[in-house]
Amino acid sequence: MRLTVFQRMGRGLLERRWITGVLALLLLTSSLVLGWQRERAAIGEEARGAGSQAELLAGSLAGALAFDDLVTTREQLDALKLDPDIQAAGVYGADGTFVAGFAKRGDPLPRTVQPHEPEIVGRQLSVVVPVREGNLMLGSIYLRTSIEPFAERLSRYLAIGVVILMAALLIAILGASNAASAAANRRLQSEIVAREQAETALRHSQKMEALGQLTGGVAHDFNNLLMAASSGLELMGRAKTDERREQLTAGVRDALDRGARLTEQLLAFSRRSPVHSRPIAVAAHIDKLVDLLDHALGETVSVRFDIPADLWPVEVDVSQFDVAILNIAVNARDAMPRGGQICITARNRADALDGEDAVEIAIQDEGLGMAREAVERAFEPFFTTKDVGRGTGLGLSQVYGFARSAGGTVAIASEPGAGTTVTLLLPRGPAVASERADAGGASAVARDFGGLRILLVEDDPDLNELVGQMLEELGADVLRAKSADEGGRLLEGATVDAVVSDMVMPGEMDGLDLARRLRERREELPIVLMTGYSEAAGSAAKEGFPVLRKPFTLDALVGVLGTAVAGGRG
Amino acid sequence: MSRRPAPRLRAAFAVAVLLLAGVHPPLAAQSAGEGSIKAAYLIKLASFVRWPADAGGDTFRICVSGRADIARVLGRAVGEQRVEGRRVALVQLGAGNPQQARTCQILFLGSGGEPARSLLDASRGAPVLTVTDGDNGTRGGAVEFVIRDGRVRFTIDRSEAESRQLELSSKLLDVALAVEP
Repeated sequence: MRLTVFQRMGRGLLERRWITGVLALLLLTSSLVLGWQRERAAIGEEARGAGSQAELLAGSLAGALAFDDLVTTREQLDALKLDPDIQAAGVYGADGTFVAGFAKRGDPLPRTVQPHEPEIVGRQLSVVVPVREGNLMLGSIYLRTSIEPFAERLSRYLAIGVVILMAALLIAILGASNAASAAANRRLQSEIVAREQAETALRHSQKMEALGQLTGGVAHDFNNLLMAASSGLELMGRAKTDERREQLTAGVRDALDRGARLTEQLLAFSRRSPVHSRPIAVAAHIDKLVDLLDHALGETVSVRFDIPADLWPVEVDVSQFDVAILNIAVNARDAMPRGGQICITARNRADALDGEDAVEIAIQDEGLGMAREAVERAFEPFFTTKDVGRGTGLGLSQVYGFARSAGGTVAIASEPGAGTTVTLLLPRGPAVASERADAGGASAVARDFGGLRILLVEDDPDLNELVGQMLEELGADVLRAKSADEGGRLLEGATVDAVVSDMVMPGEMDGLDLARRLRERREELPIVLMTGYSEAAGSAAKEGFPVLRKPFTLDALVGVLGTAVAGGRG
Repeated sequence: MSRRPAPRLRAAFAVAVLLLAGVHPPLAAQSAGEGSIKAAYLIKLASFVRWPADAGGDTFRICVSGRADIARVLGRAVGEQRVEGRRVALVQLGAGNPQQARTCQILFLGSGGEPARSLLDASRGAPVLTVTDGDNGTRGGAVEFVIRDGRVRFTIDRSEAESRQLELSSKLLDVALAVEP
């Protein structure tokens, strides 16, 4: 903990340019001060050395000076001559007169001397000490030594001085570069954050734009089908024959089916989820888009599909895929102001995407086409060739983003006047889990639920009532629960032949949890899950549970439940 | 090797000059006069010798026998001198009261003969630095002056000094011509 505080402090210090400058300066100043002190100490040491040498001489010459022993005096002085540092030495009597001495070079010996502390004159250090024995003043010793010249002393410090200078320089340079890179790093991080926010906003606005494109057509369509349904019901009251009545019922049924499909699409768009990929069969999925496209593109534009039945599945985020196709189609429509045909073709392309299998989806129009510059910039966000207010420039950038996130590519081929082809290349995905059992009544479908005891779990009271009635119509004995928890409790005390459960419910367990638990206990128990959310349906299908997509018809219920019951019995 | 030639040459030259002048060389060798040099040395000797703590009281006595000239020089000089903080007094000793020699700190015997011997005998065992003058016929002192190369030098008899509980400084021994153990 403390370490991180220090680390943070250290980083904070090093990131400021002036601090490293001050540190470098501090290093230089302190080494200069230390050097100066060292110099002072060295000179003091030399002065003390000269002083004690003179004292030593004074002590050993006391006897010789007292009793005029010139021979001993000279012997002692001669010994000093061998010391290269000593330049001159003199012995003086008690009355200050010269007795003996020598001067190697420089100034001659002084005629008379007075005792004084070591003093430095130029390059020389001189000292005079008295010679005493007890109370007796016998004379003085003069000693002069040479001091190493300042330049020579300086040259001894030169190497370490250069090292210190380099260190200071290094600190300053490192500090400056560190500060610069830290500042760049901060800028980069704030840019990343800003870009992430912008991207999120962009995705959101792309979805909003697509939704806006849809709304006009969808509202119109809903109006139409409501009209169809209400007029059908009205006519039914006046219908004279059963045949006519059945005809009208079929018409209303058809209108409601279309409404259900549209709602499903809208739900897919309104989900604000990032990427939730799942495998889809392109042919089946584009079939579902047909109505949407018809409504979104208007009457002057027709759409032709050329999609082979053996097309490989792709793994994509379904709502993104829908938006992408819609965006390309809307662009195609806008490129054809006087109407025309949009051709959506798909084919398998082996090894087309970096050596991997891929599915190619091409959307071709016969419109105005684009100039080369426009093609190059077409995928840029906010780039548009449309008039102000007619396009946001986000459509194709969404297509690009979708293709990249799906692991594929997108390309535009266009020439002015020759139409445009947008080609999506998406990686081949795993096989599609069957979402919806065939409602057409295949061979192994039980149609009679007479005598079967069925547990129905549904939290919505209206739906609980309705689905319960449907099951009872089919002859089943229905056990009702309002949550997965309650359903679990009911099964503790009763045996059932099948379970029909909603998926998203309040409580500790949801429908999928209940289904898993039941399967653990009784593997052969037929379980059917109902949901309106494609995501939930995907996860249920992944675990192998049959799924009924809400809203569903009695036929669909019979089909899915019948298949499950037949499978369980078989 | 060539350390000594200069003083030796100079001394030889001085002796030659004195011989030509017809003066007795040993006595006139040093310009200040042999007597006053010996007088100065007697005072200086005090600084190189340590006496037992109880010797002498508050006066430091230098006793001279047989050399009136030295006594005279000393008499002029001792008034200003202090030895270990003590006043210095000059005492001239004759043959009359040899026992007085025991109260001296330094006893200089300047001429030989009976008086000198009786003073030496009387002071035997007392803490007295005995100084004799070999050239004038007195011998047996702890310090004995001799004239060598025209200069006043001295020899030392350590056993004489030790028998009187005197400590001689090594600096004194260093400049002695000879030291008898």
